[in-house]
Amino acid sequence: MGAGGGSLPRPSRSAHPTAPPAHPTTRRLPAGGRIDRSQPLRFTFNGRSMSGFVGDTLASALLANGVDTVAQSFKHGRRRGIVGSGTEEPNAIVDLGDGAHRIPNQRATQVELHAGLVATSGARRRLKRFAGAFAGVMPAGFYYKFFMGPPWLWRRWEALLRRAAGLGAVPTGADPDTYDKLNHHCDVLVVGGGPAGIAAALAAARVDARVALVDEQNEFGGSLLGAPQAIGDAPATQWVDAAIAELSACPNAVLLPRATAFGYYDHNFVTVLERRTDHLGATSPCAPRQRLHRIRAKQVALATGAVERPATFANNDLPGVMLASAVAAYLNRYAVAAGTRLLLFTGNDNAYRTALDWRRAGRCVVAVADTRASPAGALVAQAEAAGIEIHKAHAVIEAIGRKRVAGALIAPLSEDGQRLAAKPRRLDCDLIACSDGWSPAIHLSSQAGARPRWNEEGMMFLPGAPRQPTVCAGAVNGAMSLAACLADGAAAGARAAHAAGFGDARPRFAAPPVEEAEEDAARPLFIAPHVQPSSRAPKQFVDFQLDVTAADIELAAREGYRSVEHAKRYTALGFGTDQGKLGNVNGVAILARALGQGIAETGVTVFRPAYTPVTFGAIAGRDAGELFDAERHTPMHAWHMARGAAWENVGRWKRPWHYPQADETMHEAVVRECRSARQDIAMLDASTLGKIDVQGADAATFLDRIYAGSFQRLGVGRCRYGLMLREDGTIFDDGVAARLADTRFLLHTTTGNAEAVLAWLELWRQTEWPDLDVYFTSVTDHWATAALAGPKARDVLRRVCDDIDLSREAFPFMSVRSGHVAGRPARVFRISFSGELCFEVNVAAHDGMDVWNALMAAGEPFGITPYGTETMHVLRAEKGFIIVGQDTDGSMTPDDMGLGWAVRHGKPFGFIGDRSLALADHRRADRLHFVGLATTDAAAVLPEGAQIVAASTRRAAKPTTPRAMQGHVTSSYFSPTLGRSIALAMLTRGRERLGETICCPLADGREVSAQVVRPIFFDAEGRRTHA
Amino acid sequence: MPDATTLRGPRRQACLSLRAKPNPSLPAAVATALGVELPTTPCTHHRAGERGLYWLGPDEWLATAPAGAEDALQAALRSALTGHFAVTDVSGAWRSFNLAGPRAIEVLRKSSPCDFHPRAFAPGRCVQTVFAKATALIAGNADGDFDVITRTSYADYLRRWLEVAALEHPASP
Repeated sequence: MGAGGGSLPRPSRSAHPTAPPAHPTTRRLPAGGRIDRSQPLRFTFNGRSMSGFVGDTLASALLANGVDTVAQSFKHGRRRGIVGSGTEEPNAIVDLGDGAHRIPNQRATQVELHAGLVATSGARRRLKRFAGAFAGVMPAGFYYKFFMGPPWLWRRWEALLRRAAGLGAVPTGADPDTYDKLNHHCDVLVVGGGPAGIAAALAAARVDARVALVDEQNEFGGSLLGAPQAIGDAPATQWVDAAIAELSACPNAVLLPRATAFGYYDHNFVTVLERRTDHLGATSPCAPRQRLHRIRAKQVALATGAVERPATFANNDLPGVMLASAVAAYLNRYAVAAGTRLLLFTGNDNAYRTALDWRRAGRCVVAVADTRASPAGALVAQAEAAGIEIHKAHAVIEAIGRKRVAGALIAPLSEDGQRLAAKPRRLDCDLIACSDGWSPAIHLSSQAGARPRWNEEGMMFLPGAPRQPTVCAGAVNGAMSLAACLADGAAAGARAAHAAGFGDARPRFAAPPVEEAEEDAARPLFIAPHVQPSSRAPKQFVDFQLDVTAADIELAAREGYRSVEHAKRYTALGFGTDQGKLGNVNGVAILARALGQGIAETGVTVFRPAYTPVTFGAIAGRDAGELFDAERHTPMHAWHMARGAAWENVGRWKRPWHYPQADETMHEAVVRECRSARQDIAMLDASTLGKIDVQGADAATFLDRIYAGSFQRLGVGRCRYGLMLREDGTIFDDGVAARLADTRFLLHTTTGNAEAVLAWLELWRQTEWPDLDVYFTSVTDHWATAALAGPKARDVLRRVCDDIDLSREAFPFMSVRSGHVAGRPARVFRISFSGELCFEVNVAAHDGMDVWNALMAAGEPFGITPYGTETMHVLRAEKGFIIVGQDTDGSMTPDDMGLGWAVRHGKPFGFIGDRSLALADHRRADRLHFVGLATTDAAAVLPEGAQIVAASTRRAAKPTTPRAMQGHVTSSYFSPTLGRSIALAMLTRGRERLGETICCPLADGREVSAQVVRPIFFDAEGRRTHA
Repeated sequence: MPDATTLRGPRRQACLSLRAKPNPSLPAAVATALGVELPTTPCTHHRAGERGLYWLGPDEWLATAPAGAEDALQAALRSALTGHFAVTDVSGAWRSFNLAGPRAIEVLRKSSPCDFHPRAFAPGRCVQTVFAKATALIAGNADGDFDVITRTSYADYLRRWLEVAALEHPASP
């Protein structure tokens, strides 16, 4: 032990069993770490082949391979190296894989190395070109300033910026991986698998609470994995192994490693991204690459730890400037020494561990620059005893070097730490380990609504008072020693379990003794003074990812940005994918100083999800491809498929749109289908229509109040068209209701409105008229419906139905009969949405396909043709039948639509919307009326939605703009039956303007003129319907 | 594979929607007509042989029986019940899936945000809830298997969904 620096006293803790060689030639230590040296791996970085071991992260492997520069910075194009060892890493952002498998913006510190891994510095090449060009001309608030400049200038800049902006490259193809989601419920969710989290999970699991423990690393243990500490008599990792084994054996405990809790929402709902196969490289199609866990917890225990905070100094972004904890983690966990000659810059005792570990690994500690005048803790004493030179009341004020740290300027501090007390001097070193304090990972707590509070004693933001059932434990709570973390975790776990109904709040778990070095008070600096002011000194970076400097923040303060939220947006501080985990607090401190106020007063920005970036694939889960949405299929769906139907989505239903034959166009298919319905026989799958069964002694009374028309005196076996209005008198839904028995009706609703109508009926029954005895049951899915339409409908149906008298006299239009069709129990309605003789045959869904086939066979001699929704639309438009939601828009009354005949005023109780119809606005003379339009050019089909204006007169050859809009086209088709274009429209005073010529200006500049006509184009007398 | 999840269905059964204003004679009348005890505890169901009766609301139940029994059961109910009620044949409206196996609960958890842990969803419980992007009535049976009863029009979608959800090899990769 102890090569390189004279004789050293043996440290009290057990350390590496074998001594390293005196003059290490590689950065990988010959022994130690949690890597598996029997499993070497090859990977490539920026095209260079390198090697590492199972257990490495990409970052540790890059360091071991001597890579200093991992990226170039966003704005200034400066060389950047690895700074941290976990989620806080701002620089080592890489793209993984290639082509469709490319995953942009991954933190190398959290990417587990696997064989064949391909990594690229995402922004590298592009930025090289633009670096420098932008450096001097993009001050803080760049975007703000440019948006206030002339617009043409911004457009020039935008083109340049778009090429340069962004960190990674997008994949070149559709994502070949699969993702899914899993819901959890638990009593206690513990976020963070370090000592505090494990203790909390143990405490909760031992009282039989349902526990989930999530941690973002590949193994549990958190900070213990990177520090050679002991719990009880054994290395801490042994305690971790035993605890995890105990939790694994609990049937009600769920352990999720490689899982990041990234969102904390209302009602203790936490979203967690689990990386299941990323570390394996190749993926298998049935194993989801990532899984989104949606966890609902009675209590959430946040044991999210803390991130070390470096002080800001000039050139602090030079590769070789790292967090002290990261230097220790790479050394102890991955057996990688990130350099050879270490300079430690700190204001607390804790970071001395890094120097001691470094020395123990046989490396040279150049010196420690301690901001404190007389640090007196045990670790400081150990360092002094080890012969490490300590510069007290000193700060590193500037890093020196070109490609990597080659030295540092250190200088003594004034008493208040704001100025330098003497000239700086240079120390030679190649690694600067920084620790200015710790920032508890309060992100999730902040997401959950707790405002962070500044703790003056610990000089850190701590979670504020929780607004949800949350407990915090360990370092996130400011408990910085291992013993405190274990005790805090156990207490928090027990408290959370008790609050969820388990145990008695006293942990059934005593933390084993931990030997702790007594620590002296810390002295954070936030920013080291320089001989020059910030604006003149070499850049002092606060946010590495977005290149925000101390000078930028001071500029923002000078320009009037006093609120931390405004300053954040002005400077982009904390805007990166790392959410400013390293720099935020320094930024706040610099802003506070510039504003001459305290940090508590200045506050910190609110953190929002996601804690770390989440793939879109995980958010989509299995709801992709053919499972993108829940499709509803009719019982005859397979038949339509086999027949080659083109589909129309109606709500969630898949409805046949038309059935093209051979190479028919849609127009040709629709012409053929229309002709068949008008001349012979055609059949439509109408199963999607909403159907509600209404039963009860008061059914007729209820319907009288719901419908604008009258249903009391409707005869059994008869049907009636009904309009449902909203309270304001506008049309809500329409459909045919049939009286099946004295106390039983069947209501038809529009396809898209079925659920809304059922809810509407229940709302009125349950809240307004509970005295009425009436029940509703949705039977939409129960019935398969085939609408036989055409002059030969009766002949076709007669061939498969012998127990219903289909004659005109026995079975008149607007009636319903029960019997059998093709041997199956059936309900047949004589109603028509096509204007033809029509029978709508209803059978149970499971009989639908057979009966459909039987009807097709029976119709074959008559030339039966299936028709789709497009033909249905054309046929109904020829008849002027409205479609609620297409011809109406929620502002139309029955009168507007010419449906005043379906309204019956003076019913005993009235009906919903009755009184509103008397509103002055509803009776305005200039309301929009439902009319037909016949284009002057019979072949010109107006686009639906076209606006209607007055026709241009000869005198005003060039029409003035804007021209007053008088209405719009709601439905428009080419009618094969009439051989011309027809349209339905809403037009101001339309009914008074029959015969007038109006004009529709189209988007392409053409104007189409049309004559206003009655909204019925075919068989106005209804002879065919009644045939 | 002992861990495998078995997916059966969609299966057709006789289904009757029963809506009735609760009255003292209702439970006895229903039990007589259907041979199944009327569940009155919210979100529970009772079974007797191949028949089931599911609580859907304070005045709403779903009765199931082997396909073909719908007419006889409807007649029996109509003659046994008194007061205000509605009985509707909805045999065509519902299709039933069955999930069995030790990891069946995981398939449910991939599909629905409800809590299916035995502490929260013991055998005999049922719940109408969101299931994938559709809705379903989910019931826990005495043998530890689950019925997922869904609207017929969603059966194609849910069959594909459940096949995919049950696909994953039980051992973690």
